[in-house]
Amino acid sequence: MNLSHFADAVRLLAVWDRELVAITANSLHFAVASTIIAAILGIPLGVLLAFREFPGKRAIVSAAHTLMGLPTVVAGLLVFSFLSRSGPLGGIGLMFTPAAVIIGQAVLALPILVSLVYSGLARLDPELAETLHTLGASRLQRTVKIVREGRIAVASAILTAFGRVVGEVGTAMMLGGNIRWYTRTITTAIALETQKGAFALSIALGVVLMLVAFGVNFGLNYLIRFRPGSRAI
Amino acid sequence: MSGEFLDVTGTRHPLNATPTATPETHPTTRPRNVLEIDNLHFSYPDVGDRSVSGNVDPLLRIQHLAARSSEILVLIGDNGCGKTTLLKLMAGLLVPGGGSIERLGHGRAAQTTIPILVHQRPYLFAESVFANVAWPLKIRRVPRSEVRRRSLAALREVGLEKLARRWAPSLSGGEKQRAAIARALVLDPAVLLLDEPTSNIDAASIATVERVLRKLAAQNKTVIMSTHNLASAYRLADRIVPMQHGRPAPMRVNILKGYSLDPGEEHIGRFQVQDGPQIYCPAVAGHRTTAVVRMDDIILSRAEVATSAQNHLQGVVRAVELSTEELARVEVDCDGCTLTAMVTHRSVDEFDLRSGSELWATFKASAVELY
Repeated sequence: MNLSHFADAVRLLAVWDRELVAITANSLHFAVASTIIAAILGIPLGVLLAFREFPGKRAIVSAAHTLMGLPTVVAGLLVFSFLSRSGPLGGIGLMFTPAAVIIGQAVLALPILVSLVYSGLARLDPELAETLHTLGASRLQRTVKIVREGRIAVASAILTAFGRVVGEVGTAMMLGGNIRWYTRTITTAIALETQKGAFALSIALGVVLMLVAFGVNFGLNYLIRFRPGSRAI
Repeated sequence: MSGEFLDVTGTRHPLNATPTATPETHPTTRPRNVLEIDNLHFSYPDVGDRSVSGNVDPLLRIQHLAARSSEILVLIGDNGCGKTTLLKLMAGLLVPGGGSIERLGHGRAAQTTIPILVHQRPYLFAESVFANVAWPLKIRRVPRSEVRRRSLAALREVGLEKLARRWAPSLSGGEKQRAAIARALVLDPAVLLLDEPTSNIDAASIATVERVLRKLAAQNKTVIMSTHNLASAYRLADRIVPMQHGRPAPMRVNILKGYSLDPGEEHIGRFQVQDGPQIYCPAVAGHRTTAVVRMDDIILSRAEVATSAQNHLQGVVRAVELSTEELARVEVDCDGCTLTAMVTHRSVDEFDLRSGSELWATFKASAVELY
């Protein structure tokens, strides 16, 4: 790698290279979609764990905490075993499609969301739930309000999960197959291009990934300091 | 100790009731029961005293307790005596282990008798004070203009209209308590429950809270609150229910509503009992609305006796209740002022005390406490 590679990387970024854009779009698409799926499942589960007592709750919490550090290749392997042709869902034909990558990344994001939402909401004042109940809120209204009250914890969980999946390479490679213009993501492209010696695209993609990471970090910091202004009365 | 007794008119009274004069702010409409508790018992899971026989003694057991409209009922007692648990049961936040809590009323009336509980340290949502107060109306899809009108009216009621735009969690303890009360008031509840509303708040907030609660009672609403603040309890209460080890205990003081007269240069003060006689009391400056006389401090006699005590009131026995193995509660109507005295069973027999007996009630001026 030499200086000319950096110059080429700058050129790729400056002209907003078509392949660079496509790979970035893929990465963001897969990460956003998988985070949304994980959020739809994980936030209600986190609320349930924070405010309800039921058999098996401790086991679920422990599992969620443990699986936060699930190796990406293990998640990939797990989903692979289901989606591969010989697997129980092999007939659907999802392997090496964007859907497979999204499912794999959602599996990675889910324990992060459940664990962080639970931890954040469990720290809320226990009288919140009673207050909502005594003011006559329905079950749905109570859940929405609890999430709103714990919005910083919930948003932090979402951004942390997004940061985890947008930068992972294991599941995207195993389940997406790194197919050009189709399932290639920033991380899989960097791995491939670097091996090929095409450092310019790797460097450019690395810069984009760093910008995304900075954006997530900035968003987290903003949320921690966020306090909505008084609305008009 | 719980149950009921009949007075001379045949009216049933809860055993723990302390008959008092009706405050002047109260409405003329006839009070009716809005909440009735019967044979209630409750224990938290894995909590409770296990007796020798192995049975769990419930944390809370109430044979009968009724709350009436336009009444302020105050629960007093030590920490852990079951006040908060009872309030949470009334609010439907806890499910009784047995017995019933019946909300009385029909149609819309029954709806509005669902009690709302204001916690000791109320949780305010992380948004503006106005948004907090407006939220119960918004979730009921009340039109926006009405939400605004009712929320501002509730905030005005508790003196917080100028803080409507403030970030609610940044309010002081007293302001938070008032905001939480406003958030309950917007729903116009027939029964308002408050868990120690005057603890850990400033004197100005206590005065505001007491004013709001009196006004609610005057509007035919029911207020049930717990407190450690006896002065506040005496000032507010129409009825006080002392709690001991999860059971209502007999009340041992008379609470007389009225107003104190300016003592001027006198060394002894006077208190005008509402619709009743004047009684002598310590000379205390300032306007006082409640006089408290311990039941044990009242001496009953068949004839007026000459003693150093300043208060000699002639009256007629309305009811005699044998409350414990040794003591009886004798309720005497003294010219519109109902006094209850504790006497021994022996005295009941010796004086042949029964409904309609004529008696003199004697107590010292220094036995009267003003609030």
